[in-house]
Amino acid sequence: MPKVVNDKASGHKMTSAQGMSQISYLNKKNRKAQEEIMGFIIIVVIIIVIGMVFIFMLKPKAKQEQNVQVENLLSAVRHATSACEKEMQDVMIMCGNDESCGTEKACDYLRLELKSMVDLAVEKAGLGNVIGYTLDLKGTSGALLSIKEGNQTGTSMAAISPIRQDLSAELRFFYP
Amino acid sequence: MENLKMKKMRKKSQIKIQEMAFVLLALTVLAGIVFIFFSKFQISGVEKAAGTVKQQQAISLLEKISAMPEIRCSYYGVEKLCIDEDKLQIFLPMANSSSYIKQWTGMQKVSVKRIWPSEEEWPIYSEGKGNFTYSTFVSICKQEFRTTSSWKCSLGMMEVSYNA
Repeated sequence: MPKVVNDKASGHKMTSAQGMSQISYLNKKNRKAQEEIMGFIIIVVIIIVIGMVFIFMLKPKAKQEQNVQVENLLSAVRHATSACEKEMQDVMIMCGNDESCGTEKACDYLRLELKSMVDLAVEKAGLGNVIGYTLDLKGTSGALLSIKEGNQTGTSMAAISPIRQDLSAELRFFYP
Repeated sequence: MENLKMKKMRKKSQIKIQEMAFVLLALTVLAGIVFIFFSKFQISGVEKAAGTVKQQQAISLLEKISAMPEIRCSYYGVEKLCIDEDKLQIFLPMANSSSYIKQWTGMQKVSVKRIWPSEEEWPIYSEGKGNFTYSTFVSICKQEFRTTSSWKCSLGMMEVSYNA
């Protein structure tokens, strides 16, 4: 005579053999559900890893932007009057022509004065987070004058101003 | 015998419930990490946008001031930011008068400074210090003779302070 057990969940009466087979069925079902959950977690982890790789890949390493403040500084520098009573942009042209500004060579004068101007601008305008800058005077054959100060890595803000058809000035500030 | 089986089953069920709880916990932690990442990106975006808005606001204020015919250079209709030193000297005592006070609405401090070749400051308007200060570079020019070629310019900056 098979033993009769009472299934509390359903309220049905069943034999112990039937009960055992139901337990084994439930065990199998539970295991399957867990496997599915694990599979889901694995998929979520894979998606997150792919997402993070994408985010890091899309993150620009060295951003370059045009900036109004830098543009205004370059414009003001260009129009400042030099010791030889000429605008700095005229002295830049003189530098391109290998001429002199007063007693000094135009390029030597520019190297000294432009550095002093930009250093003062950085100091006075509260551009404290600037870690370095470059100021280049570029001709068709290459750089006529290049002033570099500090660290030239990371994000940069630049302004490019044409002085003449074959001459341009570029000021670039670097930020951490 | 039956009791022992039931006990075993209960233990198994408890383990299964614990397993499920751990899985749910792991899922919650995962969701939390995703949320933190997402919110960080969102916050940095919003902060950047706020900074840009503040900067744009300051730039428009500075452009408004530098475009005032009372202080603007008036030769050849210059387009660059240029302040006429002589006009500025004359304008300074009038800047706080009732006819100009509306001009400074929303601003706490406005000043023009020469930084090269010498240093000099012209405070235009001061009503305390705002929580946001922005400066930009301008040419400060002075006419020495009555010819267009006689303008002497120096490097200066214009500073505006306001409550953002």
